[in-house]
Amino acid sequence: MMGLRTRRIFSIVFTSAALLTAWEGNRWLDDHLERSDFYTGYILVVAVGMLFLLSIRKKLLVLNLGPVSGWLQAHQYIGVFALGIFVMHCGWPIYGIMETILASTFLFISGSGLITWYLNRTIPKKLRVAGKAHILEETPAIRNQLAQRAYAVAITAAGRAESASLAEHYGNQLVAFFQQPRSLAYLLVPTGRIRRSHLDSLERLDRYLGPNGRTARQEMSQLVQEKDDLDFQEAMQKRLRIWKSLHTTMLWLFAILVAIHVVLAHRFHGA
Amino acid sequence: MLEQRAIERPKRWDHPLDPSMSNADSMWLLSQPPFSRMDPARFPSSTSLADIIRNDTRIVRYEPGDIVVREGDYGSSAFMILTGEVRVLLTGLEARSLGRQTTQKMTWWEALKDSFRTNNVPEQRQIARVQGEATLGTAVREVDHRPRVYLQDVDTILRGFESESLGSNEIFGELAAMTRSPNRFTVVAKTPAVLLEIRWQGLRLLRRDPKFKEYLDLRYRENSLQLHLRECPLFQHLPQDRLELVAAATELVSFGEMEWFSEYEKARKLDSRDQINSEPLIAEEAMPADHMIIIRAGFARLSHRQGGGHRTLAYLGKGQAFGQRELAHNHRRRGKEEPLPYQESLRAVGFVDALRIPKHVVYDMIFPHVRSNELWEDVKKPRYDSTGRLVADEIKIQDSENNNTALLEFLVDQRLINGRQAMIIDMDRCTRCDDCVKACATTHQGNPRFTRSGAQFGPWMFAHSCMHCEDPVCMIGCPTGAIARNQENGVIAINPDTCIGCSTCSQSCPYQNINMVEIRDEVGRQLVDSGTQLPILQATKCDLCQAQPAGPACQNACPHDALIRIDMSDLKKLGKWMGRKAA
Repeated sequence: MMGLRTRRIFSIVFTSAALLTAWEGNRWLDDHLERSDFYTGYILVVAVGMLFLLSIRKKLLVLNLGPVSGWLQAHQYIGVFALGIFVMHCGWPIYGIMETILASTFLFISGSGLITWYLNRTIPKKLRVAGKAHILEETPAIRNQLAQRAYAVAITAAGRAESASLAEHYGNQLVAFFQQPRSLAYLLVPTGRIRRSHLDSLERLDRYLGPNGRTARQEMSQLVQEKDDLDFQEAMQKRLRIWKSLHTTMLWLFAILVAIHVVLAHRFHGA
Repeated sequence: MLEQRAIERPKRWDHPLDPSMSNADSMWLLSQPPFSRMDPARFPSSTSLADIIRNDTRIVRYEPGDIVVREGDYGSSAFMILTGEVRVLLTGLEARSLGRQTTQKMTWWEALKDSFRTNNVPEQRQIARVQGEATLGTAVREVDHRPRVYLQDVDTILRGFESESLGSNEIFGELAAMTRSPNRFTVVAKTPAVLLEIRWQGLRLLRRDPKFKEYLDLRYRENSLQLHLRECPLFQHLPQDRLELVAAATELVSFGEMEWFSEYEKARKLDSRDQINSEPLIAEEAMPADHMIIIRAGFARLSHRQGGGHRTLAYLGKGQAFGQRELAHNHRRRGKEEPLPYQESLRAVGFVDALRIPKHVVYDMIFPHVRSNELWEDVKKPRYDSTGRLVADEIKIQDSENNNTALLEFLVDQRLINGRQAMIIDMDRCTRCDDCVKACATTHQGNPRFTRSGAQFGPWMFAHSCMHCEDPVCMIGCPTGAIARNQENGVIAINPDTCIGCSTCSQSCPYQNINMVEIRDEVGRQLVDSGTQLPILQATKCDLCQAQPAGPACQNACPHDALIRIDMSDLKKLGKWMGRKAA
């Protein structure tokens, strides 16, 4: 089986060679005053068709067609190839409403593909350092458990005079943090600002707490950290899934637009 | 301060094998051979012969056709015939006749159709199959309130197979029970028979009687020992007469608890130093090397003293030898040179069954027949402790192959070394897309057979998926033999046609990789027991997609090369996979 590095080198060389060949072909047709736009257009249609092979492979898992990882890598390089062909095909500037929509859609697909590729590479490492690995679908249940644990710590603290400040702080500042999912803004740009703010304010409570209260405060700080890790994991996983869904949906939309474009191009190519 | 509460200390026989065993039964058994020939004085008062019989045995009735032990099942009891006749089938019965699942690979077309079949009902079963009606040749019935797999037409089957008859006072299944190895033959009741089942704990205690021990050892030596020695590469070129002499001098020893899985949860929570110290010592570093030890079953930790603790160097499994390196060194040493002691310690991880060969036998019988290029090199730099005694050298065995010690210790401590098809996920590559889980569900009628969670070491997660273990403790005690290893591909699978949902396998699996699920009929109705109205359960687990033409779907489906199914004994492959460069 081909190693990961060998596979990458092979793909880069193959994609570059394919692009170079297509570019040479395009130039030759231009030089001979032939319709190079049909030539690049059909290469683009074939390339877009090949981009769907990944989705098809994922549906046909029972067939022995090699691991999906190989197909994903092929998909990525075909995407790069398609981008190159797209540039040759469109030229600049772009005229017409249909062409502008097509170009915008394709650029969005390419952009979202690159973003997904980048997120695929960076998110796993970020998730690994953000506490215990959680399954996205289990997030609400884990959030609920954390909220219950925090509530239990607060209730116990409320029962003692030396730690009543902690219970009060929980009631005023932390209930919403533990019981609710984070805002859309956090999903888009997860930061540690709220966590740091909660941890700081909890630490400042120490001066009002006795020994037992301080132990409970440490426990509450630990829970804040765990909740923040959970929110971060949820935000990161959702971000990746959203980009992937957008990328796939737009590819389908693009395929429909391409089909219309091909019909129109043939219908009016003499005009 | 909380008050103390005095309770009676738990005792060895709080849970006898058969609580209904009466004093009269045990007294009658004591009057029968071989117990009548045993010397009760050989047994301490805490584990008297009468107590062993009362607590570690039970009398079981079998009807003609009942399967007593199945070929390939992991035994935990020996059987002695009290009355009646049983037949040992010398040629193997078909898996289906033994109540096992016969796995046929699907064709591409079948697999494709199956993957597109939408199934919104979880854990759907056909009622006919749950009730065993669809299985040919075998069925499950209740005898004395116990489920029993039986051959429906025993006479016809026995006519077609070579078999041997066993009668009163004969013992069988003792080897599988003592060494926790698979039974080599299937035994079927020919006539109505009454057997005495002796669980392995009792069998071990009964070995205190020299005659009984001699009898069991003799049977082992006659039937299996030479075969086991031949499996070790060291004995490949040994002439038969020498092998017989080696076999005669070989000592059979066992270490640790055979039911190690019951203590596993407690042990894994111990500090790693305490965990190592709690493991029974087979051979100790710096002690005189006077035996060669060959592991017959289970795993042993090879460790080396470092500072105040121990550093794990490797683990040894079935067929691997310990002490041969030191013995080879000592065999070649010159006159005045001090003999080298064991350079490492060997400890039982769970249960270990071993063969111990004295050094003079190794020198005289084995080394002369080992080619010089196969003999181990001398230990180059033996070290000495403060008292001038030789201590272990810094030896790297499996450790040199990209596996750091911490990982090795993690694998041994968590007993992950047991896995033959463990699922490892590289969390630095895994995007948590769950395509692996979805693929698993696709190939199992919408029911995923693993959870993407589990013990983690650095970026590597050892997911909760059946590892198809080398030592499959889940197979011990299955009353119908529904969980079994496929002899062709090593996959351990559960036959839904004969699983009665007793949870024995699920409770025995130390890794929580077997789940009990509530099953439903073809239209989605939950199946409940007609008597108790309680849900009917069945055990489910990963079957490594053995029926699928493309193999494990989870591994194929991972888009990021983050998941692998791997044999944990292949440390070279493991190290290569873990050390690969990112693409």
